[in-house]
Amino acid sequence: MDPGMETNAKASAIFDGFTVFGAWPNRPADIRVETLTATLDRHRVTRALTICAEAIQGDGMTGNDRAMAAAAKDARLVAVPVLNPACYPFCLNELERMGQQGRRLFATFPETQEWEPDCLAFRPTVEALAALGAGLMAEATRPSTVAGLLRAVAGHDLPLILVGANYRNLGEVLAAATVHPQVYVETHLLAAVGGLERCLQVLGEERVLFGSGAPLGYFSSAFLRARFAAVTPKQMANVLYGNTAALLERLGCP
Amino acid sequence: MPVIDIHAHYGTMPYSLERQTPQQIADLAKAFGIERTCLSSSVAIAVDMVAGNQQLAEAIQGNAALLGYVVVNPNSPEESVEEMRKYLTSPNFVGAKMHATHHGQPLDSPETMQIVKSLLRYDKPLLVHVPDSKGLVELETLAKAYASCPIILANMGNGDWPLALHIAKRATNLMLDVGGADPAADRIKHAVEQVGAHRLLFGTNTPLVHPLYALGMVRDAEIPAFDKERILHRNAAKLLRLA
Repeated sequence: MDPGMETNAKASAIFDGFTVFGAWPNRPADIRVETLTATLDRHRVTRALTICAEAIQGDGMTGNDRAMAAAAKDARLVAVPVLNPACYPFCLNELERMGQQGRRLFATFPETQEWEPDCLAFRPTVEALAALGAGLMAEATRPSTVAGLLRAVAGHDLPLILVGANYRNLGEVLAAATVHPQVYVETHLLAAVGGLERCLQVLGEERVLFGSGAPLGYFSSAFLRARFAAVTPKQMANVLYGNTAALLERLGCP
Repeated sequence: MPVIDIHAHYGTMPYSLERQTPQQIADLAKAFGIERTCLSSSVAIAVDMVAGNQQLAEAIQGNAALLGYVVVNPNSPEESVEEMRKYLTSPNFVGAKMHATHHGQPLDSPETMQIVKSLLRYDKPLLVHVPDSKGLVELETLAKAYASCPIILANMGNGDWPLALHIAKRATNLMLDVGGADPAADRIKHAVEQVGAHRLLFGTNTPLVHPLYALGMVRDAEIPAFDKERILHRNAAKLLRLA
């Protein structure tokens, strides 16, 4: 393959805004934390937001503790605790517990966890996140999920990172970002020709965050797509590193 | 190594994406080492089969980097047979394309069988997009009924790729396009182990998937370099008889 496609850490530092480790029940993939850190080594990733899969599909408390432990062992990793409103009211306890440990960025997966963003249990979660001054990463691969999330966070000063924007929901994502200045877009499924460039045109260069989904997904798919996007070097640096770092700093994340 | 993309699209799509001209498609592909791109018409798939095929024929005419699939539709079997007659004797057209998500017909219906039977005379493959696991089961029936017809499964069945691998083990004329929008990091390795690299082909699904997104999958796949070369070039060159 073209040597110009080699990952080049000198060209840009990389902050991977979406990684997942642990185990995935319907996939034989090796996504152990050791595989994640090896992926970061191979591609010279500087930092990575990481989520433990067990916190998504199993016990949130155990999974979040695993993510915290992984981050404690590898300084590149920033643990993002998962909240599951289907576990209301325990999700509020988990938010408080993680908040006491300094966490200010959380994640939730309505599609995988099978709850609707309009559900009653999500409202107090959003209110508690806003009261904490936290941000939320939310899985949103479908147009209806994007719209539901926007309704849920309306009126709150809550940075919302839409994870999983893709060609099918891109129109809805762009509309959401247009009306809500706190919406950010993560890129691991933003595969289409022109999709990432369109996001930068509409959202501006500070609200698009590179994510890979590795090691559950191929790192190079998302990375090469972003690295060779038809954008300026400044935009590239912001997408690959600066925007995620700035958001964490703004949230006061450790 | 010149890469061959066996799965791409030409024409408008109902998403927030810009339309590419044929030259833009070829230029984007060439920028990343893809020398030949095999296109089907999005208009023919989703709107008007005859008009779309005609638009594609005009778009690829005189552009050596672009090749075509003639779109066929089991809702119009007679017209589909006629479309194949119009285009498949041309070296610009490498095969037929059927998109079951759009035509909605079972892939083992008599109409589908009629089209594939007619395709045999051209000795060119059928590229099939299957919507779900039910479609994959129907595809197995179709593939076994016409075992001498190479059938390419677009995007390896997307999220149903584990089932697609099981079916490909039983239907040996089934080949798998490893690209698409699902970047599941284990699927190419499993496909090589279970089906063999000689039956895998590189497709992008451009413009829904940027060429680099698909190339990244092959780049990261934990398989030998020789197998990557087969996937990216050799298998398609042999199947489509490209120099």
